[in-house]
Amino acid sequence: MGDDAGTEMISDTDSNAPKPEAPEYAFDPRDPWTQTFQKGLERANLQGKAVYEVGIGTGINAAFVLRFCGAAAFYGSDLDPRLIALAERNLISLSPEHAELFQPVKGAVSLIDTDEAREKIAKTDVVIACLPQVGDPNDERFAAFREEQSVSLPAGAEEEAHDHIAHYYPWTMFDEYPFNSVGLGLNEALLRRIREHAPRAQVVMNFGARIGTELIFEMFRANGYEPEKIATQIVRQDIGTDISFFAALEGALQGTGFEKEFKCFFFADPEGKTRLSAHEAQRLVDKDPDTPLYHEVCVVRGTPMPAA
Amino acid sequence: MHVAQTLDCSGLSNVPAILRIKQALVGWNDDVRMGVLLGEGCDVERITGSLGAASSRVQLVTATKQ
Repeated sequence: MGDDAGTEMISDTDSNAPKPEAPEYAFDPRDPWTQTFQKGLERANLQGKAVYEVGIGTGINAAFVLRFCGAAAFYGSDLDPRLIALAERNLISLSPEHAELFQPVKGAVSLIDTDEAREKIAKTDVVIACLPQVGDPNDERFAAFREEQSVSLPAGAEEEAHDHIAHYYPWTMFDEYPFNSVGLGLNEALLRRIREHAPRAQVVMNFGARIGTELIFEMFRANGYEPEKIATQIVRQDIGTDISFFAALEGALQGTGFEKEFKCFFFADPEGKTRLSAHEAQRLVDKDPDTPLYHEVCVVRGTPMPAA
Repeated sequence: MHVAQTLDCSGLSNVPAILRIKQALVGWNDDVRMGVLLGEGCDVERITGSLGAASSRVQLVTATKQ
């Protein structure tokens, strides 16, 4: 597969990458998702801009944006309050000359739901985020939906890893947002908040495009942003992340007449040539959990559209 | 049978709207019809047909721009 944003396969190691402190409770900064995101950030024209990252993680993107993209200021917050201190330590070790430009919001912050976070968002030119797009396997409503589609949860999928909240979100909690139906409720919630508190800010967000980029673009437009894909790569599906959510989406369309209009985008090969539906992908991992699966990760820039 | 709660599907095209309706119907009280607000781009007839017997449990309404 390929498009004008340039698809390429990346390796799991990059000898030039910074070496941040990365405890188990933080999303692994060497993960291909981070590498893809940074390719998009490089292309996002952040020179001289004030940037806010929702979900600061290890702070690897703060260091990258300040050091290599020339941002003038970097704000950030995270649901896990331990990550702010971690990000500060990493920024000091990775790019000490930029440490004073990092102004995090301390404490546990869900999206931008504190006064201090909203105050900083209002001063922001570009909001960046890579938020979970898979409902928590332990969510009761999601479990009921999954069972109705006769999709079982793979053994061990209900166990919570240390960085669980970096992979899954509480699905029911975001059900007021229409695109929650395809796993984008948390992302849509953020777009609406940004639209309200920083109506002129651009957004740059990282997505696993397992539901296809068309639906992701649809979410952007429905919330007042013109989307543009600025980076894309095929990466290996994280072995520990459950894909039954996607199989349940396909299952719910059986017998509706819309089956052929929606199939998830998994691949059997790192080049993205042999496409698999979520059902096909699930069957493979049910037989052998170590079966390598691949999917696209893409970075989407959203520019606010004039109000209708 | 009265209609309770409006499920907001505005902005969604056919497929995510159907998914949202089917998700909302899991565990829904059959004595009450669910109001569903569909976006302009949705095909009400096709969505109704896609729901089969469950279509009697919902009342679809299309949003129109003023």
